[in-house]
Formats: sequence, structure tokens, C-alpha cells
Amino acid sequence: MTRFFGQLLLLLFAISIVIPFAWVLMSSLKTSHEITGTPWALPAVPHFSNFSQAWFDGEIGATFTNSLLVTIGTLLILIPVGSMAGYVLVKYPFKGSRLILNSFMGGLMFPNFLVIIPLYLLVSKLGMLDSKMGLILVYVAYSLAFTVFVLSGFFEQLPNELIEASFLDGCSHSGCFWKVMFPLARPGVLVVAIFNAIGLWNEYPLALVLAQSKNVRTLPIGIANLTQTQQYAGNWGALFAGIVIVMLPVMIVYLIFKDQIQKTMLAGALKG
Amino acid sequence: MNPRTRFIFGFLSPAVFLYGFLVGLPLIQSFYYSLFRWKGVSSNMKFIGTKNLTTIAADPVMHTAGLNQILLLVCGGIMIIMFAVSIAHALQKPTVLGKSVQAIMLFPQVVSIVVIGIMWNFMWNPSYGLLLVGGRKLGIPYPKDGVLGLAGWANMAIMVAFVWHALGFYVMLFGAGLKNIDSEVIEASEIDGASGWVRFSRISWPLLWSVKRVAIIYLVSNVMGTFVLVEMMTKHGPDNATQTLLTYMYEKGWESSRMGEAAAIAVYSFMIAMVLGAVAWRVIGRNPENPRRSAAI
Repeated sequence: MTRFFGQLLLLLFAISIVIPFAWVLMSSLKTSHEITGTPWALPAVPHFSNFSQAWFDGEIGATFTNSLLVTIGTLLILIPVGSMAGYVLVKYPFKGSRLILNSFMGGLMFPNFLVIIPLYLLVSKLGMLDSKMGLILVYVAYSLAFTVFVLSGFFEQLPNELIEASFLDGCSHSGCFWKVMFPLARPGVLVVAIFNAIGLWNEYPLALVLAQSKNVRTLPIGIANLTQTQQYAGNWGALFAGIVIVMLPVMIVYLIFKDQIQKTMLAGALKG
Repeated sequence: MNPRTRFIFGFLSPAVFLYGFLVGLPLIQSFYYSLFRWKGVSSNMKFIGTKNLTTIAADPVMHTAGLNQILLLVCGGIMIIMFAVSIAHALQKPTVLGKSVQAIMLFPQVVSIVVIGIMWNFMWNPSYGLLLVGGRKLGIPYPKDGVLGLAGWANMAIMVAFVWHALGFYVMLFGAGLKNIDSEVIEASEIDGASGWVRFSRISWPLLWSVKRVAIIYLVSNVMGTFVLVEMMTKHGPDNATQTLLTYMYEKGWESSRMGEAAAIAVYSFMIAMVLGAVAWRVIGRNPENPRRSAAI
């Protein structure tokens, strides 16, 4: 009996997740008329033109490229900087290293939008408002907490003997890191990079305040703007297509790496 | 400087610099900026002491926002924990359905919250939204003009979207917690004849204390961070009814150009988060094996 109710609950849970996404997917292939007229029906003929409209007429195409550049740019700085710090903090303990690690951990706990006012002022004083580089640096800083924290866990598990052996082979401190330790931690680093990429791809509040102008806007800003313009234009199909363009890449990446991502999320949460 | 020290310094300083400068410094400045009157970036700041803090403390919209956060934390939190624990329980026995649930349950979490907000705005649309049209077919009554334009209803609609968005993570969290409970303890209780509910309420639930603590910290952080969902679903309306602390802060700072008051809201938000976290921690995060110690924290 309990078993039956358990399975029923799972079924309802699964349906509640699938239906909204399926509805969005379905609507992205319908005409505006079909969307408002027969919301539950399948499209008579799939309208792939919605996608080209969203991509070219809306700003989805341009913001997609911006998001890609910002995400990749952030990862290119974040991963080396974060793994170097995580490595040193666990393998070269010194007075205060624990404190530094803990203050990175503390950053995991508060919603970063709370500090947006001083951050906005700081970025504008640096002359980096509305610039991709400004956004990238802010993203790196705000992703460091999670990255350093999780990567330090990976490095901690690698045996110290490896470091000593590489010294005997004539490696310097940094040589040992880049030639021995970093490659060994690569599976973990990859998951952390993917996890961060998803978060960066989705990020909205910081981008809203720090990168408003047309040539730096990221995809979430683009889709939010598209929502407003389509509300007047009434082109719902293109809007749903835009939503699909934002969410589909993330869903695919997540499905490929879901086991590792879940493990990393749990490691980050439960060690804290 | 010996090579070791130089190495440590070289490897650590980029991260520490970026983090300290862009995360740590603004955190401290938040408190300082609430003491000035200033508009936007270029204009000069005038020191006005605690005036912003008192203005905001007396602001009725601020009270609505604070109340909304507490309601979301309490009602949303109870819903999330209840559902998450039950679903995690049902997932303990491996079935095909369970496997597929585990594959998709984080979708609402990994998809951009902007998309989630827009999606749920459509879901609640009275003329073609999935929920209300479906409800009409089933004969469930609802307000004619939809729910997002009515004060109490809109808050409820946001809460549903919030729970839907956050649930998967907590299922995963409690799933890990349940897996960590020693199976011998459960077996022993079965031999002693404890029924399913007793086994859960007397053994599993108390033993989940450390997971509950983590859940509480994340819940408070999630609830206090509610911004995008509200902006996308109701634009903090109707008539400020769905304001949260962050939406109100954003409105004050970027729509009304009252940066000092916005900073004061941030200060209060920090304090409220701390208090809510501490209270929630005490209510459900007690360590049953050592209640004294955890009470002291």
C-alpha cells in the first residue's frame, strides 16, 4: 500500500515537471492563433519559422552569441584561478589558509544580489559597466566561492606522495601542479566547469544591472526583453521559440552529465 | 621570500584579490552606503546618518515585502520539505519510474529562472494558460481575470512556482540523507514492530537533522534571493502586493533612483536573513543525540 502511494506520488511529480516543459516545446511550434485558441492541442503543422523569427527579429541571436562569449570567457579565467587557489589552500596549509577557505565558503550562503548596490558603484567607477570584460570579472568573482570550495575537495583527495615524487623528478611547485595534480583532477574540474557554465548561462540579476546596453546583453536579458515586446506584438510563437532556445542547451548538457552534476551539487551542499 | 612562499602567494593572490575586491568589499560597503542620500552613480552623496534606515523601517511596502518573505519561507518551506521527504522516501526503492524521476527532477532547477518565471506567467494566464484552462475543464473555480492580478492569489501563484522550481534539489538532498541512515537502525525498528509512520517520525526524521540544517540554510538563501521569479510573473504587483525585499530594493535603486534607501533595504535583508536562518535552524535542525550543544549554536 505504502509502495503504491509512493509510486503514485512519483508519477504525479514526474507529470508536474514534464507537462510545463512539454507545453512550452509544443507551443514553440504553433502559431499565435493556435496558442491562444487551443492551448492543449498539438500544432496542426509545426511552425519552425517561429525559431528563425525569434533568432533574427528578436534579439535572441545576438544575445546568444554574447552569452556564449561571456560564459566561455568566465570559465577561461575562473577554472585556472579557482583550481590554483583550491589546490594551494589544501595542499600547502599555512597560518590563515583555513580562514581563507572558510571565507570562500561563506560566499556560498548569501544571495549575491544583496550586494548589488556597492558592486554596481564599484564596477562603474572602474569604467566597466556595460562591458563584457566587466561582466566576466564579476562572474569570475561570484563563481569563485563554489569553485574553490568544491575543487579544494578534489585536490584534498589526491595523495601527497604524488607531490613528493614529482619533486624528486625535478618538478618545481607550479610544475608539479600543472603537470601532475591538475591533470589528475581533470574529471572533477570538468564537472565544476559544466556546473558553472549552466549557472552563468542562466544568470539574470547581475547582468540586468551591470550589462544593459545592446551589444553586451546576455540571453536571459534578451528573452526577458522579448517577453515585453511580444506582449504588445502578440507574436507568442516566437516568444516560446525563444524560451526553448534558452532552455534546451542547458537541458541537453544536464542530461549528459546529470550523475556527476548531482554528485557535485550534493558535495557542495553537504560539506558546508 | 622562499620558493614555497612565493608559490603560495602567486597561486592564491588572483583568487583572493578578485574575491576580496568584488565580493568582500561590496559586502562591507552595503552597510556604509545605507547612511547616505544619493542618486545613481554620478551625483554626490550626502551623509544623512540613519535616516534611510528609519524611513525604510516605517515604509508599509517594506512591511509587505518582509511579510511576503516570511510567508514564502514558512509555507513554501513546509511544502518543499514535506514533498521532498515523501518523494525521497519513494525514491529509495529503485524502480523504472524512480530512475526517470531522478533524471528529470532537477530540470526546473537547471533551466534559467527567467524562463521559469515567464513559463509560470503563461501557465497562470486566464485565457490560454495551461493551469487555468485545465482547471476550467475540470470544473475548479478560480477568479475570472486570472490569479496574477489579485493580491492574495498572486502570492500563492508565485509560491507554487517557487516550490516547483526548488523542489528537485531538496529531494536530492533528503535522498542523500536517507541513504546515509544506518540500515541496521531501520531493521532493528522493524523487528521491534514499528510501523511505517512511527519508523519515519521517530527514527528517520530525527536522524535527518544534519540534512535538515543544510536544507534550512539553502531555503533561507533561496527565499531571500527571490527576485527574478517575481519580476517575471507579476512585476511585484498588483499594487506592491508581491514585493520581496530584493524586488523592492531594485525598484528603489534603479526605478526611483533612491540608492541610499535601496542600500538600507539590503541592510535589513541581511539582518532578516540572519534572524530567519537562526530561528529556522533551531526549530528543525536540532541534533537529537546532543540537543544541548546544538541549542547553544
